[in-house]
Amino acid sequence: MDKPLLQLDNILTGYGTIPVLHGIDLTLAEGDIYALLGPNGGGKSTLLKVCSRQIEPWKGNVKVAGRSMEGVAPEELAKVGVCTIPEGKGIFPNLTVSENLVMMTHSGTDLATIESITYDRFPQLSNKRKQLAGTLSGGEQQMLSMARALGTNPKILLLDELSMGLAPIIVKELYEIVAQLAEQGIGVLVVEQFARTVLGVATRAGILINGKIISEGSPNELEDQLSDAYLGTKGKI
Amino acid sequence: MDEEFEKAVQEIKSKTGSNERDRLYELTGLFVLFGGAVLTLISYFIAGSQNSGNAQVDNLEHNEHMILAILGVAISLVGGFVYLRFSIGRYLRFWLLRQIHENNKFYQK
Repeated sequence: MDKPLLQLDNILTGYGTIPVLHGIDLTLAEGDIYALLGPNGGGKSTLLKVCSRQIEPWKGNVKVAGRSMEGVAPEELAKVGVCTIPEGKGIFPNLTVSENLVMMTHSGTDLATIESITYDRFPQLSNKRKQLAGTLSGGEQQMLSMARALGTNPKILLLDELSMGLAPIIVKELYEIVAQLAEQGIGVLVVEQFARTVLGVATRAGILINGKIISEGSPNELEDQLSDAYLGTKGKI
Repeated sequence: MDEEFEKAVQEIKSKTGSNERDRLYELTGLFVLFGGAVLTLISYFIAGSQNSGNAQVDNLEHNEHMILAILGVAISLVGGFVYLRFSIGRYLRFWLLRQIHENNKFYQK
């Protein structure tokens, strides 16, 4: 069997002395869109930070392409193609759109390529090259953030609350791009609080509550369980 | 799986955090700072206790211990600089992280 792109084995971690994740197992293969759903405070963003090595697991192991990531710096992981789009866009609000694109050249892709990919995909950004990124609309900021995923040739994409604060039509458009990326063989791990749109493109899904994945399966299987999970009638520990 | 990606992942160098390394250098600087001071003090007291009755021999011994004391001061200074360099480095790293964190919080409001 082919090695998974990303594998989490029994991850236990938290902040200070307070545990947040209690033994998470997860695998992400090429072309997968894994939607991790669950209510606020369940540990979804923490899990993404563990994947990108911004948080060290107390116990357990993160493997990328079959190799343990123990002792690997997050920037090294980013350079080889693990791209994180954090909650709150992850752009530089006090730089212009063009300058933000310059910041995306860290992975070695030249500026001309990044600009061409970005402006072809999101023409509305090409008219705002000199505008400060912080003054763009929420959707445009998320597009700029997504441009990083398109321009830097990632192999694993970690998306944190892509839909936050955006109109449903923009969210749908962005998830269509995510689906296209997955078709190219990129593994996508997306965490979402609002599940409906992402379940439309996901290949697998899991529900994370109180630091545990209480249910995993196809998006259709999980859709029925979501109400229980969000209303707290399932997953109490 | 993309072979290029797999190769790049295998070639990533894992390293321990530079923070711990800086802490080690900082402590070494502190140790050298006090070591130099101790050497100076020892040289001073040994030189003061030289009293063989032969002024020429005593002068020679005093000179040697003066050189040792000056060396001690120099070692102390080097240790002090090393300590300052790494303690300021650690403090500035913390300050930068705090700035980034606060900046992010501000723009997310």
